[in-house]
Amino acid sequence: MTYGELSTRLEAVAANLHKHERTLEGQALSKATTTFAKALGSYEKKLADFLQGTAPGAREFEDLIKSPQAKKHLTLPALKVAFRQILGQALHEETAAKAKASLVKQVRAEGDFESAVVYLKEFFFRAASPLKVGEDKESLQAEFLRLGGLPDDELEFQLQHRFKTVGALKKLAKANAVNFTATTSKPKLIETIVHYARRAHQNVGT
Amino acid sequence: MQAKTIAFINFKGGVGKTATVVNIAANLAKFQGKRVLIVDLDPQCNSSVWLLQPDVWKHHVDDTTRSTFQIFEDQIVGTHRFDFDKAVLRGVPYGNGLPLIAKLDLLPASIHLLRLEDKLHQNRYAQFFKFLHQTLKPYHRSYDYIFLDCAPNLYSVTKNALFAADYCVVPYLPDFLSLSGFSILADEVEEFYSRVGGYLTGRKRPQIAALIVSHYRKVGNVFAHSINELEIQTNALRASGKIHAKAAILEPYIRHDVKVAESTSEHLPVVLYAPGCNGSQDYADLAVNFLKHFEDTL
Repeated sequence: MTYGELSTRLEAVAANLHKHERTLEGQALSKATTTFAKALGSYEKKLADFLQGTAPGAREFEDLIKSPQAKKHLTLPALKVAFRQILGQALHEETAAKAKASLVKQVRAEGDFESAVVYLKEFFFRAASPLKVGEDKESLQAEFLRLGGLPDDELEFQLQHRFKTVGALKKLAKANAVNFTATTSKPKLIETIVHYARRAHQNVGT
Repeated sequence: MQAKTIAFINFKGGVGKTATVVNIAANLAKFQGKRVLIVDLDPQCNSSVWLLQPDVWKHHVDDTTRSTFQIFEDQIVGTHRFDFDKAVLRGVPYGNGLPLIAKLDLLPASIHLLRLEDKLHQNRYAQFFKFLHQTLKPYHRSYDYIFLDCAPNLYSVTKNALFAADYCVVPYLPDFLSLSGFSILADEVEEFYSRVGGYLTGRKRPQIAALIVSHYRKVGNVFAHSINELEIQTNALRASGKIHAKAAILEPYIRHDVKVAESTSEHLPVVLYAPGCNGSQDYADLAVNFLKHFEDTL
């Protein structure tokens, strides 16, 4: 069955009902009609939901937000950045699930699906192949300076996504004279890196 | 806009050709808004039976004029029985017979493709390598991408795919057997294009433009070393001009994931079967990098 075939069948049913409206009767038909009307009601709702999603960018937005890339890359820090970039507001949710739900709700409420799609596509493009930081001292110093100039939520996101391991953080720290010991924890290391990266950005400038 | 036609080739079997074709195509159609046609040219019909329930596939190609077999059969026996609009299955895969990805179409294969090689050999005097290109040409404006899923060989049907392609992509398994096969493949492909280059009439000479690594596992350094050797070989082949000057090993490498294998039994791309699994996420990122490579870099 195709959607075209279904619409032809429905048209034929509608024409028959209309033509014989005054002669239709009986328990069996009555029961079948009630069941059909109930199923039709639920179908109408599903169809309306889908068609509502045909507002410019809406269907694409719904697909993107449920995509494997969204599951992988839209972490809480990423959602905070997305919220600010798409809606111009700060996000205060504490979990990724709530943050995502809040983003979806707000975008739907504002109806500007196209901007959200543009942002998400760009974001996923970048996320698919994260910028590789060179291993040499100069590259790591440049990266340190760049990180120091980022807004808080963007910085948190970048550290989480691009410096996932303690080893990567330690390389960054070592190249920029940030001290640590073998037992320095990841949160402590991040805190120290952020402090000195902010300071470097302020002192050295861009 | 003209479709970019891409042949997925490797004469080694089991390297993830069909998985790459099906899952990149599904991601491009579902999430990137691209109109994609998969052309199944493998007598094993793997992309056809991945995307269709076996009974649906069998019913469709029981009439062989509705399969890629007929494209070649027509040329060999001089008939005109292949009808693209009847053969193409739109919006595959299906849920209860209805489209699940509206922008993904499939030209299915039938096992009759097996019988073609001998017949094509008997027609060597003809320009046997042009058949597929001539058939698909009128549909180039209907799609953004045409993916040619080839059999693991370089026989006549695959040579048709090479001739019809704008670029070739090599699905690759990170081990020595694939590595040793890759340079032979590059030589063979280049040799074919040097023979038929004169027939390309206004088209750029196609080349191997990308490699895609599947079944990757982070077990010790075994796979990392294999990838390193592949990079070294790719650099050498690029420098020698045997592959495209901007040919790249696209990332991420597709991690081994049992969900991908399971999705074949469900007749769904993994992105529809298990969107949260590693395989889905890798293919989604890979599809984005695939677009960047073929639309911006090359």
